[in-house]
Amino acid sequence: MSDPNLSTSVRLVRVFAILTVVFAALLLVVGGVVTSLRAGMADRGWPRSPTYIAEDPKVWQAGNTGLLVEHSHRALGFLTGGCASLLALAAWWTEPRRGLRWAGLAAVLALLVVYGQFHREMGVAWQAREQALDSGEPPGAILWPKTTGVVCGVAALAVLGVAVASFAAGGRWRWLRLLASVGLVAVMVQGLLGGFRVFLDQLMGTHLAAIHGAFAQLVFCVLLSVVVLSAPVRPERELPAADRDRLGLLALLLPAGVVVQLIWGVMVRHAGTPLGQRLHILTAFVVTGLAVWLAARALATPTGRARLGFYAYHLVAIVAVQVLLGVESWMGKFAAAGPELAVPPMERAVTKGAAIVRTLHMLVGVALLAASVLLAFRVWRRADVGSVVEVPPKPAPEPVAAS
Amino acid sequence: MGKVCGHSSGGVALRVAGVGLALLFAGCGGGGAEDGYDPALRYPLRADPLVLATPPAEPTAVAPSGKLDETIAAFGSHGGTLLSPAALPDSRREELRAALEGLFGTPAAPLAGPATDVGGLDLSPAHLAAGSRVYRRLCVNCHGMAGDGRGPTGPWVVPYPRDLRTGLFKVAEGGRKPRVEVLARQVRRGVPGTAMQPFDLIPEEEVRAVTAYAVHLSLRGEVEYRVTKALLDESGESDVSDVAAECRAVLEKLLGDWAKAQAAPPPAPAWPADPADPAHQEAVRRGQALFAGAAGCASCHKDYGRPDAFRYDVWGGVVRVPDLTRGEFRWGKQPADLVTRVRHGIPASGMPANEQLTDEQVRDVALFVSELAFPNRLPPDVRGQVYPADPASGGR
Repeated sequence: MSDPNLSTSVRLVRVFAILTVVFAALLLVVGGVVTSLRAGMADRGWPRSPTYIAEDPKVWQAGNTGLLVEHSHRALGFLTGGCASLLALAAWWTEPRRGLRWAGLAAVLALLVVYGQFHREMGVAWQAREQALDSGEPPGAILWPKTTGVVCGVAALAVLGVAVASFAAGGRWRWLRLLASVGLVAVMVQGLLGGFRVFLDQLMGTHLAAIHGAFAQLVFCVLLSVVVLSAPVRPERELPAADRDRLGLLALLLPAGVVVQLIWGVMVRHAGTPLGQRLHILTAFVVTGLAVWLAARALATPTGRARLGFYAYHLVAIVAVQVLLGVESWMGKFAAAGPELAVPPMERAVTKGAAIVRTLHMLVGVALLAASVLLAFRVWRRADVGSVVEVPPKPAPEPVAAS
Repeated sequence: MGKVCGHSSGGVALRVAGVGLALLFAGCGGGGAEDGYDPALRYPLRADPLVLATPPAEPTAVAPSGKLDETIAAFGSHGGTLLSPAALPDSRREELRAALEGLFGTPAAPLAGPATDVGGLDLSPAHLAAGSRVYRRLCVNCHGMAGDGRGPTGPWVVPYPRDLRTGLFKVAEGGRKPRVEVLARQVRRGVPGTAMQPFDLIPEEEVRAVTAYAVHLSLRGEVEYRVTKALLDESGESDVSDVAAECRAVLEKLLGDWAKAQAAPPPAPAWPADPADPAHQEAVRRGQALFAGAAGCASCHKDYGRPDAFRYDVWGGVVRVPDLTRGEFRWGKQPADLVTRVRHGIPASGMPANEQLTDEQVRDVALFVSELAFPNRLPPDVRGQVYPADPASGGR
């Protein structure tokens, strides 16, 4: 089926994908600050309007950095969700089969409606609870919107189901549609994780915060993948099979290793347990080794240097910065002197400097994950997967006339 | 794939990894918040200065985020009075440390001296230990290990988390100490307008246990505060010969104060329920007149608290004089709560008591304050004064 507007659609997908990743990156930055300042509970209420502070300026008291950061995080989450919604809709517009296209669009729209309704009903439940507490009455059972929650879950499964059906049916940009749909559901799940982290803090402690932090990295990878898959791949940029065979396994092991390292890092940030510390340090050696090994193998051949050099050098630079930041974060968190020595590390005051270093360490970790994912795509991606436009072959060079 | 001693290298790698993981798990322990404090941990001695007097000039803003201790440190140069525990000789510090540990135990095994019960509050070692585990799981991030309000989250939220160590509570009713029921209620409902969330989903026994532990931290902190102050008295001459005996004596007095404070308060005066009731309207009018006049409320709550105005609290922090037109009352908005606030004030943040008012006058002021956020429930003449720009009021 040919559709003259298809390439425009995919360009639109790319625009929305880039916007989503930009907002997601900002969201990660501010989320990192929230965790570094331990300000995840600076606002006890959820859900609230993302413009809460602007709507009611008197809730803002000068110096309440925790509230400002936490609300900025929520507002950016709202924007990321909005962009991911547009991304998913635009991605479904690329589906060439009319029936599947409208099924996908309808499923996404239905999910958006139900998700919004779930938030509204959670807001009512929270308000009712606050009013009961304020009045001195026993709050009673929370009015969980169970039915809406179940409908929301079913709607999410429907979106994923149609995406899998579209993928299985084949066709161009199937990966785009699948990952855009997965990305939307993942962003929504991440939003709910953040909300319930606040709502259920007294029951779950920081467990949900840790899951929220770890899941954020995976969601970011999915969104980044959509950006990559919406970009054209010229045949001459495809890595030769020999290089792919040489580098393929390492290119997959590295992002897997980084994900594992990030999970241990989440344990260190949120719990600081001895087990988490040991695993994070040991895995750092593994990841550093993998990154250096992969870069060295990538740069070992002329084609590797030409097509992967940019990624390889940046990968090594990011790892070097990350190791330095890791040492500084460690020293700031676990080394102490004077009165601080008597206080367990997780209960010590966090200075602005320490918060900056720890946040940077977390963000460079995200950058390392992104770099390793991009490198993996660069190694594995073929020119005929996810191409946007028909790329005319380069004309043969004019023969030089003999003098 | 190669072979190692007859086994595939992949299989060998898995076995090595399994042994390595087993070694890692052995002796790594937990250390998470759910496990409570390490039994080897000791309460640190206070390092921040004691605030004896805040600067006489009213502050103009809240201390910048993360700079509460720096702001307090500057009190001396603005007319405030501080005492630094660092001035204690090492020998005295060790005596104080030993005395406090003897009376109050450790974070994992807390004690309340010889007391196991205060006015019905269970202060037995087992109950305090349970409270300590709840505290570490839910409270320490803001309130800090010693209850100093300086947990890792503390500097980044406003208002700052409560420092329990001076033994002062805003919800106290007249005396220095609050009723334990009121404290437990604050734990359950949280404090609206602050980062203190409600803890209404945890079991009641955990609420009671953590309340008991908060009392323990308050007792320990206040004994340390008073004895440190005595050791650093203005004459520079320490007349505390036996630190341990001094700590025991202060604790005994404080336990007496807590026990006395547990008596139930007198019942709140009757509160007219119907805003349209002429008696209700007349009470609101009287309340407004007292607010602006004899009760002196308007001297701090200018224009009913709408413009920004700040005061120092006893802990060295800064509070904003509440805007009463918002209808938010951090310490409860039931009639009994408001009557208590009007009658006894909130000495910790500079709100004076109104001992000179009769019970009926106190009720009238409290009723007026409770209705301030609801223009339609105010009599038209009062509404015109409180909301002069409201067209419905018929005011200017």
